[in-house]
Amino acid sequence: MRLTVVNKLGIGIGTLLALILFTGLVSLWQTDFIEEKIREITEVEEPTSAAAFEMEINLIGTGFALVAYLHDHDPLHLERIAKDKADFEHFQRRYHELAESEMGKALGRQVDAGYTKFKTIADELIALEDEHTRILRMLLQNTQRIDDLLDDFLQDTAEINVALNHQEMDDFLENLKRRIESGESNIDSIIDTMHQFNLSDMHEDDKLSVAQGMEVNLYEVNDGLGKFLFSQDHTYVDEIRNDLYKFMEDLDTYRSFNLTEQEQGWGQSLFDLGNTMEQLVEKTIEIAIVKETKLAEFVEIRRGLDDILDDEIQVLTHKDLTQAKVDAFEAETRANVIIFAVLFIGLFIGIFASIITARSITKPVGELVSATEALARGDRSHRVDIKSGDEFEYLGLSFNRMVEELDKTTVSRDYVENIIQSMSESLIIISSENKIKAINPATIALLGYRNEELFGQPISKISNDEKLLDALDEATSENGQIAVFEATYKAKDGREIPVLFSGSALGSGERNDERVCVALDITKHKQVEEAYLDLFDSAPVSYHEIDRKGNMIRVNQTELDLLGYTREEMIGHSVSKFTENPEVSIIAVKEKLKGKKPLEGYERIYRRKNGSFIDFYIEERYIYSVGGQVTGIRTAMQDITERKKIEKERELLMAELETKNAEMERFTYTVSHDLKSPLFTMKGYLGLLEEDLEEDNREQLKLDMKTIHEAADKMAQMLDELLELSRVGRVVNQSVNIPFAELAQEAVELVAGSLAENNVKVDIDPNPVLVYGDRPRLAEVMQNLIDNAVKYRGDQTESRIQIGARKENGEIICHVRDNGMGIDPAYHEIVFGLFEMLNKEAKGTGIGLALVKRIVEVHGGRIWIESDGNNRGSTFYFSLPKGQK
Amino acid sequence: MTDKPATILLVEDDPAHAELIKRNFRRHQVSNVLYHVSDGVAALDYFHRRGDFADPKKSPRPKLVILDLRMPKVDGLEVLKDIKSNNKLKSIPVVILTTSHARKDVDRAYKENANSYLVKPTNPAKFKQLMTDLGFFWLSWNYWPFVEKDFPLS
Repeated sequence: MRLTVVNKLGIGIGTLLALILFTGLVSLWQTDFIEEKIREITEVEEPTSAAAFEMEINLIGTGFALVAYLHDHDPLHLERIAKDKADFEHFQRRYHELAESEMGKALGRQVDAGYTKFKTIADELIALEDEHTRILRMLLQNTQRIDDLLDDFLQDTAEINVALNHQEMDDFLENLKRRIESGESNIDSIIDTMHQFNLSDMHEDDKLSVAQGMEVNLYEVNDGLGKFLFSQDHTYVDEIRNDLYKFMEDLDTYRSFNLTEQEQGWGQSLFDLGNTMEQLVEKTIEIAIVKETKLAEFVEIRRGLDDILDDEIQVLTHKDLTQAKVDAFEAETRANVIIFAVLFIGLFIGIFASIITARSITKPVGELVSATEALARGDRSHRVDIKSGDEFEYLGLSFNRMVEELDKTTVSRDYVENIIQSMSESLIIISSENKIKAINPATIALLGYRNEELFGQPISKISNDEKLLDALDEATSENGQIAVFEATYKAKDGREIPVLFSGSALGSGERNDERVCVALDITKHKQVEEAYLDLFDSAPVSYHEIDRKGNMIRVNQTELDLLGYTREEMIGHSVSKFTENPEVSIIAVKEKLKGKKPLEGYERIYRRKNGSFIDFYIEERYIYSVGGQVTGIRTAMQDITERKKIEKERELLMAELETKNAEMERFTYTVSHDLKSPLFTMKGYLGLLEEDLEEDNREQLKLDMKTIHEAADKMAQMLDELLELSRVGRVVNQSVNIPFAELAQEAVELVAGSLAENNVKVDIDPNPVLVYGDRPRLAEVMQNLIDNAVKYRGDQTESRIQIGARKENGEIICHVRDNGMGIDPAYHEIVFGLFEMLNKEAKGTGIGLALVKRIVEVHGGRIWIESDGNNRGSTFYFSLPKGQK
Repeated sequence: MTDKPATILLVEDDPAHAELIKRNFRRHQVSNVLYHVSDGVAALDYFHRRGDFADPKKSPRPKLVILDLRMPKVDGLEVLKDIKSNNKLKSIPVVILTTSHARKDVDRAYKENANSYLVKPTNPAKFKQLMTDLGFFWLSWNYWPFVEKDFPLS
């Protein structure tokens, strides 16, 4: 029977190898191609993309930090910029190490060039900003110096001037009165005296006005600069230059006056300061303009770099790519399976053919025995020589052909062996009892076992992955394929090795239950993926992706942490659901997803799970399909809640500054204008006196002199009160706890005379409430308010004032209520203005309520009025700090 | 140039200033009729013939308005804006006469189409001169717009 065995083997192996040759060649080419692709992707693309991703994150970080620095000058941002830059350079080096392809190198060069530029401009911007801040500081110092100088000078000039005039005027009027009363008839001599007096009319008024004009212009330069720096609106530049020009012009006028030595000194200092200021303003404007250009350039370069890096990252994050990889893998596995299936089918055919052959052989057995023995020895040169002319001869020839064929295909068997031996994937054949029947060297390399250590061992020795074991059990001949999935192998040293696993039942002949398993080591891939996920999740910015419907498909941990959701709660939901105003943002998202407009950075408020809000600065990028269609949007978001808060505070500060500026300006303006008013009256009436004298109208003369006296008194009073007003807030008495009712009682006693005279009843709420503050000043407030209530009591029969206080939100709200004329709501603000009087006939200068407001504000309180006007009374409310018990 | 006495409206809140102006005018331009209102609200009432001025006889259309700037309630600038934005009133020349020569005031007044801006001089002789010149310029040299029908006197 040996004969039959030899024959059987011969034909079997021959057929098998012939078939394998063809399949092997085809699949080898295919396998090589696929393998190369996978290697390229796993070994080159992913690490470079990861590096690119890192670079992009650092780039975004630098961009954000720089913009933040330019915004609030917090040096913390500079540290972040430095760190991000270092990180960027680190990954740039890594990228260069990795990028070996031509395209990679080209991209690397682009990144280098872009980054060098980016870095230069970022540095320039920071330097510019520092320079800007320095100049601004100098500018503010300068302005402060000029302002101080002017203030001193105004105060002195105004006091000297008015005091002088008042004194002179008083003396003159006394003199005049005496002469007229004594019945002096020489009117000409009186007029002469008057002319002399008028001659002393000085330039002082003009000097004062010009100086005041200079001060106003300075406020405006200051204000304009502030606005310009805040808004970067260039329309302010002309205003600033104009105001500065006016200032210098006024200064020229001022210096042309007849000046005292001290005034000349002031003039010179102002001139020098003004010149310096002019240069500084020009420099500031120049820098601001350069900064703006550079910033635009910076943003452009950043975007350019972003795009380059983005292309790289696209490779990593594109879902299709992962799919392509899986496809390639499946194809490869399938190819491997085909090779083996063909191998075994061939074997089966060989066996079958040899049985037929053996049965038909009777006579030329001997010939064939020796031939096959020779063949069995490996002598393939031996040929059968049967010349019987029948089928034996044919058999002999067939045998010879078979041997020749065998001779040829022996090379091919080595070839297939080579493929299996040199495959980079692990290949294992498992028996029906789940024992290892065969392994290739890749498996040995992967797991660290020697061949004999694994042979015949249960599969559980190399994997306890249940999914894998189950899959193997299910892979019977009827359901032979095991689809690709990720599984783990266990190495000899106990290490878990992640693999991409696939398999197939051999499903023919006696090997019916044997299965072939192919596994690709994806440790590196897993590491990259892990690194990438780690990076993605721990990036300093929130990151998410939406699909073309606007639903979340990816979201990083940073964003989840910030918003307080779990990944499951976000994925698959519309992105707009997580914003402050879903109805509005869904429209914007849909519009963007049309992909018609380039995406720009913007700000949006998101809503946390707990209902609170968070401000984001957002930059977005489209995700394109291979065909160039927009398939979604990738979004990086920076939490700017803090910045927003600072911005709001800044706006408040800015508003406060503007109010203060306006108040100051109003103060100087009011002082110049309102102080001039009685001056005009005095001097004008002096002119009338002359006419009265000429006409010898002594009655009119007396009336006119009275007017002059009143005007002079009013001016003196105004000056006193102005000085008083400017003292409030400067001279501060020790703050103490005061029972409010006591304070009110004190004030009532001070004005008791006027209350009794006008028959006004005062009612004080005895409720024991403590206020905290400067006692004499607060008494002044109460006194002024009571005075005011008496003054505007109207013409009713029973005037009443009701005073009280109550605690509210940690402060004390005090009120003074009257049943007098009331104040039309249109004037509720105006009445607190300096020298504002709704009724010119009423006594006083109109400073009382301005003083009250100032004192209340110095105490950190507010003051307001409730009144309908129309004789329905009014209530003045003001808040004060609560007293401590 | 007309011999008919021209109506002048003086808007001035300070009674002493108003008296000074009135007396100077009386002395130099006796033929003119001077109406005086003492604040911005009254001025607007005058032009719109409301309240105390509802009767057109009490509020004849002036040929010239002399307007102070700083006044309680409604200031001069508001009054100026109102006049110059009203088609029936805007041809009336408005002369600002105030104590302020702050640039801001001057600029704003001209921006609101004031016809002239004068500062009350503190020197009595200069003030007298100004009153004379003012009367002479506006009431003698100046031609009035021939648009009587736009702001009929009654």
